[in-house]
Amino acid sequence: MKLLEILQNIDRRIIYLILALSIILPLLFPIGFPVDITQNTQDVYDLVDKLPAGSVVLLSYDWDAASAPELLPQAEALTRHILDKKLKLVAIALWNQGATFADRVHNTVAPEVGAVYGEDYVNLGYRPGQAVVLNSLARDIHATFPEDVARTKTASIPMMKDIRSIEDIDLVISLSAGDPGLRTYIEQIGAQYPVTITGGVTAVSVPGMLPYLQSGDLVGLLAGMSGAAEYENLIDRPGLGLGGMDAQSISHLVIIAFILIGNIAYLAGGRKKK
Amino acid sequence: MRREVPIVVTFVSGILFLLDYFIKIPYVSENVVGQFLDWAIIVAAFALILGAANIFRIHIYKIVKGKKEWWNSLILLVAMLVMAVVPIIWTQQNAVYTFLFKNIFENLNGTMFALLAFYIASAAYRAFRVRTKEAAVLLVSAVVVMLGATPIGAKIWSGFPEYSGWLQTIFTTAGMRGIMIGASLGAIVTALRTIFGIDRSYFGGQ
Repeated sequence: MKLLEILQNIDRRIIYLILALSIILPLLFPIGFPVDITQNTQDVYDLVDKLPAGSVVLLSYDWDAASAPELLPQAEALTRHILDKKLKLVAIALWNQGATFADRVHNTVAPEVGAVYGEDYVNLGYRPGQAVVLNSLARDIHATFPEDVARTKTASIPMMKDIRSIEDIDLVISLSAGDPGLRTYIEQIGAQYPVTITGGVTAVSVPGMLPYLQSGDLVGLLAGMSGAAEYENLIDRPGLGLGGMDAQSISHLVIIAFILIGNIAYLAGGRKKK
Repeated sequence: MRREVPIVVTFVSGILFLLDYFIKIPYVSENVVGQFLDWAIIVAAFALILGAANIFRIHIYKIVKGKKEWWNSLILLVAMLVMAVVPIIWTQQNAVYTFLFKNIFENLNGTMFALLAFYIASAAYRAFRVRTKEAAVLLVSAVVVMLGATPIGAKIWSGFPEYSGWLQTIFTTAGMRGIMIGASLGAIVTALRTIFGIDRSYFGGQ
């Protein structure tokens, strides 16, 4: 009976240690579990892939450093696909750290695909105001974002000369860790203007976006790190997403194992102990 | 006047935005509502400055008065000044800002969030006991959804992703839809109360 008591009251430091090992070891020694493509990820890929060259994609960085492990791989995979397809990429941010991540993604991806700043992609940075920014942007991008992150006048950036309002945007993608984010785009842009909206969110935010998927307000969705890994599979460029999936798989398994051990001991012990 | 002017401004701007959301009248939408939007962004920017100024006021007071652990306030203000001033003067693409963001801020922020995983693991182990039938249903659902969301789940049993999807698209979505409709109705009522001057809590306690 003592064993059952021990199994019901494992020291939290042991749990922390085993969980840490379950994350660190797969990162150091990858297992390479195969990642299947879900329909939601396929839908996002198809939207980008079917756009003709020269189409304009608005990619919004609506997240902070805390969500970077899930959303940075999504941003890299999407940016790689967009620039590789010779689409025009306009990056903005509704969260203040987003613009810095946009710079990092561009600095990583653009040299690989030979994209040129100002001609193929641009980073217009962050504006405070949340939903108001989107309403303003839909009417006049140049007035809402008069300068890019390098303080170059938006009007003087070659690719921005013909991109002035939401009518010039062919696809909106929001990578979002909360509000303002993908939901704000659906409510403020999707409800008022005929532009397709898709995006990616952290895994914990997925349930909140499912009603929008079912209603058709949102087309496709990248779900956390697994969404990034699936997208990397689709574009055949393994990256941070696929690299993290082993760690996520094993850590999920460890948490489930602890829950099951606690319950087995609880049931075997006659449900007396807490 | 202190009461009437804010109520009138709120009413006019609220009605304008509400109408513009559903009916786009080109001249009004571009010139009047567009102007209001510009003002709103400027006000939001000043709100950020006000927030920063308030943080400065509180922490300078702590430093000057030598309050307990005042050095934490000093570190906060120095870090805040460096991270704000450097990109303001030399843009966010400046090497100093990029270095500090990537090597200090991002790691600290990520670490704080990552700690949640450990707390959740420990809390789930302690609290997730099948004491009732409802708890048993919750436990089974959680295991299916967690395994269904990872590649290893499909390796263990091909049904995990399928049933995980079923649980989420049927039950979770139904629950979320109900919550969203309820929250939206609440938001509509609050908005109308604010627009028509019934709710004046934004006056700040007057």
